[in-house]
Amino acid sequence: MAELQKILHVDDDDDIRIIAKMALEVVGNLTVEQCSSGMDALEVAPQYKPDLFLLDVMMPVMGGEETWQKLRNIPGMENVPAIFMTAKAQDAATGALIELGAIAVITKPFDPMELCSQIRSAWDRHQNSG
Amino acid sequence: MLQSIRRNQIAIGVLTLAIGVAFGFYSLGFGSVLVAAETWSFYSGQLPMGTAALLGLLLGSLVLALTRRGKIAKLQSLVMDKQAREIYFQDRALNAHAIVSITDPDSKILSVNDNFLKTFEYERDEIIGQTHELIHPSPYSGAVSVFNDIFEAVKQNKVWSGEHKAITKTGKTLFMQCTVVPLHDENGNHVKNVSMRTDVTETRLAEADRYLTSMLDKLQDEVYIYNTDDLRISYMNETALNRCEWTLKLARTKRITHTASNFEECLFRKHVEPLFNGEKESVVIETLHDKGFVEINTRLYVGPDDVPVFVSVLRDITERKEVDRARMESVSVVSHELRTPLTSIKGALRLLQSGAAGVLEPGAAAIVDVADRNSERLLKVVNDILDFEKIRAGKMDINKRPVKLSDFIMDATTMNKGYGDEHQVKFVATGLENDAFVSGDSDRLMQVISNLMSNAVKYSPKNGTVVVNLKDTGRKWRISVSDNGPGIPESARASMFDSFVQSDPVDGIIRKGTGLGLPIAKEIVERHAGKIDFVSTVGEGSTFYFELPKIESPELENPKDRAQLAAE
Repeated sequence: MAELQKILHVDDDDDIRIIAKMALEVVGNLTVEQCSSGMDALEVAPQYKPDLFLLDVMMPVMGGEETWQKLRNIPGMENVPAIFMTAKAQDAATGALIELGAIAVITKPFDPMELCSQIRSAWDRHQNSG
Repeated sequence: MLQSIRRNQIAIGVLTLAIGVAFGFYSLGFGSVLVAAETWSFYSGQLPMGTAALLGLLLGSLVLALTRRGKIAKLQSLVMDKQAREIYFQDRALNAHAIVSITDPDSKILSVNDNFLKTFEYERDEIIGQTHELIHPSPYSGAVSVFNDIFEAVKQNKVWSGEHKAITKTGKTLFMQCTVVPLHDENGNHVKNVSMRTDVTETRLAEADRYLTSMLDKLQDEVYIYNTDDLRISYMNETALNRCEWTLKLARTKRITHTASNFEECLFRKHVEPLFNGEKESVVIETLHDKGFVEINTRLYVGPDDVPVFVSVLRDITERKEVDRARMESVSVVSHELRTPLTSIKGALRLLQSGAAGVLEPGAAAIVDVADRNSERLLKVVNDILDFEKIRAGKMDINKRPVKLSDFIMDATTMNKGYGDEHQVKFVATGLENDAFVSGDSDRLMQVISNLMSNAVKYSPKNGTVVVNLKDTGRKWRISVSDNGPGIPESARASMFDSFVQSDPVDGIIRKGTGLGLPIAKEIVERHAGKIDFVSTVGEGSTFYFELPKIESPELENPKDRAQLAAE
């Protein structure tokens, strides 16, 4: 079973990026690269080759869903799973993201002490289901 | 009747006038003959012209006057005969047409005609000796009784004339055009009253009908009246006819099912069922009609001919839906805008508390705790308002799956332990049966039980215990949360589940909260076909409980369900 090591985190909010970085690196011992927009992510992803995308849903210009569609079109990125983070908390929207193939949806505000374990358990489930 | 007499007098007058005019022409002709005779005498030379003319005129006038008097007398006697005959016929006609009754001065009925009996559905011996009060419906409190009004008028020797409501033996309401005339003997003593009535019910009803119809036609809502058996349309207002592009005549050949392309008769029959068993007075449905969202309100009426009819009022709510959607959209945006900074604040505080950014001095840690608690509170407010708006807009999704209640309650005590510890209150779970299952949205139900548990903690004394109990009540499972708090006075019961209401605490201590927790919980429980309520004794404590319908223990074999449950 592949181990989760590298995460590409995309969020337009600077402060949330600081919190998430600390939560994942200091608390969760993961390696994190961060982008402030979907466009940045499309440039960074091919070189960084993450194990998992952590995407904010509501971003200006290019939202999380569209970013993921484009990331999946990059050769070699087709099977990288995605976890979405959303502050919208609309039950229907969460369901739609799962339908799209997201392996989990984490609602904001998230608990930085729990974020890593949430991501790891979704990752493990995804690995097990093949 | 008075009016018709007057009309007859006019007729007689007109006749007399006509006779008079004819007579005038006749005498004029007669005079001309005389003038001709005089002219002849003049030419014979026996009399001077002026004298002959004067004489002729005099003679003519004399003959004319004599003849006219005789003819008029004869004609007048003819007219008198005719008048007498007419009165006789009028009497008969009146009796045949009108409802006539004669009473003594105290309104005691002496005689009535057949029409009276037929109209008011009485036998003659039932009505003779009674007063007219019998046919007057008792007036609404404060209104002047027509019966008294008539009674007072005839007592003062006045003719009473007007319209009044009357009631038959079997309770039918009629409208009467009525004239009551007091009669006096030669000494001027009031001896009798003659009442003449005409039934104008049909005219009145037709007028009322026309009035209503014209009002209905101008309504913006569509109105349909149709038979309950075959759903045949008897009436559609203008708005409805315009939408269907029908005339009323055409509409009367159609059934209500023809008014929308997606009308499903069996669904409709099910929808109106509660109207027949008396469960509901009206049923309302929101649906997507041919031209947008509509709300249809249907009632059951029994028409004047005892035929039951449905009356449906259809309102275009496309605009309202649009407003709701826009409102929901803005609430969602505001919620997003509030949650995003809260994510950073809460995240930063949690990291500080955990020591991930360096260990804090005890004083600093205490201050960070205050900030964390309050950011949690702010988040709760945002979530409650968002939920409340969702309920308002009918957008709260309930995704039901089997929920094992023993696990659910254990999870709830774990989740709320932190809040309990803060207030030095502990939770005890009792009655946890293993095979207690309900079908529900576990997130939403967790919201309900957490709300009840945090309320219980808030109102518990320090070092108190909150008991969470599971109980079998037959067809439902009851989950109750009990505290030993100050209790709730009975006066607060009515508003307990109202929005933004926090009852005045009996112990005078105000607790924090939005006042939205219980109304949201109520909505969630009701969406699960359950009920929520409480029992309380002031000074001893309160027990809030909710009941949910039981289901058989399910097989959680569906991997998707398992994945979903794990994700939650």
